[in-house]
Amino acid sequence: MRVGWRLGVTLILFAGAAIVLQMAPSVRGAENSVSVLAFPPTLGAWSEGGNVPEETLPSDPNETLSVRRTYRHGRQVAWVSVGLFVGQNDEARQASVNKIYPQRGVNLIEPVSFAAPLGGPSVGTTALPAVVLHQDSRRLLVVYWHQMGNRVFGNEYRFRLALMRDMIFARRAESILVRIATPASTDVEMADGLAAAAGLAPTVYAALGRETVR
Amino acid sequence: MTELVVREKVGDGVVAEPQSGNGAGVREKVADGPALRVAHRLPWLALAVAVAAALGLYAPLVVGMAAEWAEFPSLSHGFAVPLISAYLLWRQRHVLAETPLEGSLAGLPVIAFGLSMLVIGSLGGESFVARLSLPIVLLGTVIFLGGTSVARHTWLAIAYLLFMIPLPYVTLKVLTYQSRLFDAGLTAAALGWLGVPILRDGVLLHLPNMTLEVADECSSVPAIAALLALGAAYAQMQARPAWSRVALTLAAAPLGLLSNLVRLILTSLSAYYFGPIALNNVIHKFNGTSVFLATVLLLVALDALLTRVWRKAPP
Repeated sequence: MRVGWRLGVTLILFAGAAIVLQMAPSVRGAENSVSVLAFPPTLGAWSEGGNVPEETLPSDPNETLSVRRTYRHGRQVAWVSVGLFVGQNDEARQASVNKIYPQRGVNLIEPVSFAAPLGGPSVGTTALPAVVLHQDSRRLLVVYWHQMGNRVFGNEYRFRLALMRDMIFARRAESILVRIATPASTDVEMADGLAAAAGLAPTVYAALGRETVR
Repeated sequence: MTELVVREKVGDGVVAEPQSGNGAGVREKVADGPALRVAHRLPWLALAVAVAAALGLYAPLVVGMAAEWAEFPSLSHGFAVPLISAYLLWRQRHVLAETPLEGSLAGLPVIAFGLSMLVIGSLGGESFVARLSLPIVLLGTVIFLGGTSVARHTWLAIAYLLFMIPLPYVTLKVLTYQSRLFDAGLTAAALGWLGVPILRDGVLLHLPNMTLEVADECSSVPAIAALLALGAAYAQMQARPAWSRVALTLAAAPLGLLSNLVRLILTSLSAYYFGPIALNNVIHKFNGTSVFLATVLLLVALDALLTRVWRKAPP
């Protein structure tokens, strides 16, 4: 009976999908606990100088833990936030795109091109997303990226794809969101900020890569 | 092998004629009325069982979606979508009753593709991908068990379910910000044209007496799915040519954006002339409702225009 055969095949396919979903091993937590807390207080010539103001880099309620520090080098200042996100198979625990930089009271979010030699000068530069936030008379440069082990993602969609791949094949769902902010109210501050971020990014990447090598 | 074809019904029995073989022209009584009715309904029953099984498989996802519809006002139209989809299906009941169910193997890869999306989306933590697979699996099931002729009459009701799926947040966020900039730019231009002194700074509109921000909530992008769903439902409400239906469906989104723009201009004008008290008015506070109602009015106007064109056009 053709209808019965077709119904049987359909139900088997549905049951197969249900079994795959039910039997899939659960997503593991952060193995070898990613040592975000061991993030160094000194990054090259930059040394720690306090916490990060909430209005500069807001904390993400979805992050499991984070280190948010002000770094100083002479008269220059930079704010660095390193947030760890685990169990991102639950969407409520994923890095939320609206928490990368403050948006309330922001007149304009202006993308700027930015690249840093993450793997060292010999490897070449990696393009990373960067924006200048206009908040009344204040300007803030924010450079950010997602990091999974040694892999860096500036594009949100590529990051989501990589996370999906990790979740499906390795049943891991952890990543780090790195944000570096500097003042950029004047042209001089902007140039200094870009140089500072370009100098800090490889150090931050290397520090996290060392701690999170898989 | 003899295959019987029903030729005529006599009382409770059915007289059938062999389609092949040597007994051509020999009439024989092959089945009782109730038995035939059961035989006729069996494929429908099988289709109903398969659709019910699919809905059971997707129940956890649908529950999750319903929670989002309840939580976010811009998604609340999601509750209406399955009902409208059911209505669209119910409208086809007479045509479907006359349509023979001849399942097609073409449905099998569609089901397999949909289920793959479900598994990948669910295991990969991307609910949008998993949710998107529901209409695909339903369509594949209808094709596999009912055939392409049944799918031809049901695809619209199934496709309508797409409107209940919230857009991925990453996409929505980017679109919303661009829409805020666009809305702020056009509002500033319109106010300048109306003689109101205004300085636009990104999404901020500086008036002489106050500063307004075109916030996320002021953007009509989050409601775009609702507006498209509204347009699609409106287009199906009465008999009209296919081009008119497509035009009404597609027009809902730009008409919604236009309504929102008019709302922003009116609110800014009121703020300039009457001060902050203007921000407490009904049009501003109930922005979703006011944009929705204005879009309905614009759709009705467009419909009237299209109907005139359609009736004037030579047959």
